[in-house]
Amino acid sequence: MSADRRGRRRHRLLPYLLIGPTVLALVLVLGYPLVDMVVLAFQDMTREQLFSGSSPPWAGLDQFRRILGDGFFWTVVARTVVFTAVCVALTVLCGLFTAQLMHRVSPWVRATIAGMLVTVWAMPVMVASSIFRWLFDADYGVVNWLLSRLPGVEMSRHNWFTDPWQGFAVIVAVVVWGSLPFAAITLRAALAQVPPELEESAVLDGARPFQIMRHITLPTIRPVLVMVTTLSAIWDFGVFNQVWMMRGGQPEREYYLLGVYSFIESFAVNRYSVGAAIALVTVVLLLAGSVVHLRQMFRTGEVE
Amino acid sequence: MTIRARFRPLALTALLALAATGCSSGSGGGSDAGGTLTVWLAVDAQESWPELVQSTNDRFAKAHPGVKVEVQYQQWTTKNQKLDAVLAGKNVPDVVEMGNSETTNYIVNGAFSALDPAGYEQSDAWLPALADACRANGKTYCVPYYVGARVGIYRTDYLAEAGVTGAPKTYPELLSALDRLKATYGAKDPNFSALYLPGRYWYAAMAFVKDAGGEIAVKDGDRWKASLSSPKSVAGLTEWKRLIDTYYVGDRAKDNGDQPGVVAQGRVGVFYGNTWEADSAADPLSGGDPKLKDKFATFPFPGPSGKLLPPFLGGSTLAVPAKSTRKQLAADWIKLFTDRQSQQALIAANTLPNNTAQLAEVAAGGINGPAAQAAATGGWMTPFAPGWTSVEKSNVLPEMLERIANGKASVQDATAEADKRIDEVINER
Repeated sequence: MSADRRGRRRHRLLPYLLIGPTVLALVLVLGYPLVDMVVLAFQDMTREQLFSGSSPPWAGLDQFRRILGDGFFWTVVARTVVFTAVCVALTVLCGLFTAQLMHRVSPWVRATIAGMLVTVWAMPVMVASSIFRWLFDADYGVVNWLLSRLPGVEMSRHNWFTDPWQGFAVIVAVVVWGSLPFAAITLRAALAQVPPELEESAVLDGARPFQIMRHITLPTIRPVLVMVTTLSAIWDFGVFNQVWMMRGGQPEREYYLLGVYSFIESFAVNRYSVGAAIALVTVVLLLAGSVVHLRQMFRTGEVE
Repeated sequence: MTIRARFRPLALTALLALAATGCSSGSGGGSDAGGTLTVWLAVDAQESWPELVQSTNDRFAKAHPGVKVEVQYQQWTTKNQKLDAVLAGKNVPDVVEMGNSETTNYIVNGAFSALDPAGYEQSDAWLPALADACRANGKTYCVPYYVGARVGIYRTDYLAEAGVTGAPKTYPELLSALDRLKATYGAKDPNFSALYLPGRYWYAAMAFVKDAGGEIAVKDGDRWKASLSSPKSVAGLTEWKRLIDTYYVGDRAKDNGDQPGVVAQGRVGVFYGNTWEADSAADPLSGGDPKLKDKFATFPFPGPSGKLLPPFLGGSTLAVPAKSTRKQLAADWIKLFTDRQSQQALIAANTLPNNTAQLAEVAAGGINGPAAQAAATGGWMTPFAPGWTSVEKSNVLPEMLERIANGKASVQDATAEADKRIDEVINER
């Protein structure tokens, strides 16, 4: 029947109509700059070309040879990987603990926790970073003041950023604090899906809490757990704002992560092409990481 | 993320595109009559001499009726990033204020158009620190605007209490005054600094390098080479470090960004800064303490060499972007804004003028007298090298100084490392 066929065709068009605006927006705001950046990484763009508008000469793989042959670049890569690992581990662990807590407390306590989490979520990164920077200020910071109240501790005028290990501890705290709400709320939703009768029967069989966690809870929430982990990893790998704000817009070389390094090379040292090459390598490293995420997504789709 | 949220950037992009085309069709006419002349000035003009801007615009309006002058005030921290972005396009400002340490890179990359200095009043007496920043290959690409020079500033009441009469005139006198301050106040208060000298304050540290006969970088042929690890530079930094160790108790990783605010806390005897910083320290609107009014005095800071500590002559110039469509009007506006009459208004606003002739007219007894005296010595400038802005923006000097100040590295090691980093970028355009 023609009416039936028409209906079916509309049915076939519908998904494209639905995804169309998103794809268009993505192509415009992400696709175009991305293509431009890839092209830039294979050129040698200087300010002369920027100001005159002439097209920069091609440089082939020169920029990549330059950065990959630089020991400092690999230091930054290693630092970024470790930073990401620490942030993700803490985010997921704290998120899981908070989710468990929310799962067990009475509804009004749960509502309070959820409300606080959403407040944190709503706070712009710039604002949060600035506030943390004030908290940890060497001269007027409330953290130094509080710690100095403790008997035997003298922290006044202690600069947290002189030693990069301490400095990064503060930065990790800001990042984890900011990504905790997403992790906790998502994992809490996943925990709600764990069938209570499974847990009950496990308790009847004499399982200890750790065993329940290991054999029932974790397998059930695994897809969500993997998603939270990979998404956090992607976000933390590209951290820029927190470092930039905490170091007052002048991060020391000890504080360079890949995002910061690429920005400095592009817009402080004006080696636009080197900056683009670093960004490109970052994207490739990230893609390697996201393969895990995509595989998990496809596998979840198959099961359903 | 909802679709709405994803749509917003798209709508914004479309709006911006519309706005951009609207603008360019408005000012792209190029004819001298009518239209708008866009001027980018740093916020200093808005805060300290708004009347001068107004009077210049009034005089300009008389000479060019129908041309509207739009002055847009820029923050120093974001100005150049914005400038790069607009210079890459077509719709550029017609006049831009540039710091004299920023100009070289823009000039060698062809961002500004050449000007004829003969058309500007007192161009034969322009301060070298400003005029040299504007010159390249025998041409002039910008016009000196004003200059600043750092001086010593002290708490008159503290020095009197410590038994010191009058400002120190020589380096030994300065040290003995600091010793007395330290003995009088430092003993009672562990947070009292006789001399406020935070580690990342590179304009102060480099003044000691210059005083000892050292250089940040020297030109060899047409290439620049960093020279911070030369024996003279190291000697200057070693003396600077000794001052920190002896007279400064604050956080050594800080810079001088909040200096007036810290001084206003009342735990500083002497500091090195711009004259206006003493005013700020007593101005509640900028975080100062109004009780400190009239308790500061300035003096030319003596250097260890026996001469005055050569101050960094940081100042501003005005340039016309090569892509401006109204270059003649822009030059006319700059002429009015920098002529003798305008420079007098700057002196009245406690700023130093762009030429040696009027520098001599700054009242020696006034608050800015010592600064004029220090500026007259010639002072020093950052190297006029193509890649100098890269050196500044990648924080090589503050990081080196922080390492020295905190004892993370010896002066010798830290300067050698910094020289290496400077050499990597200083010749790059």
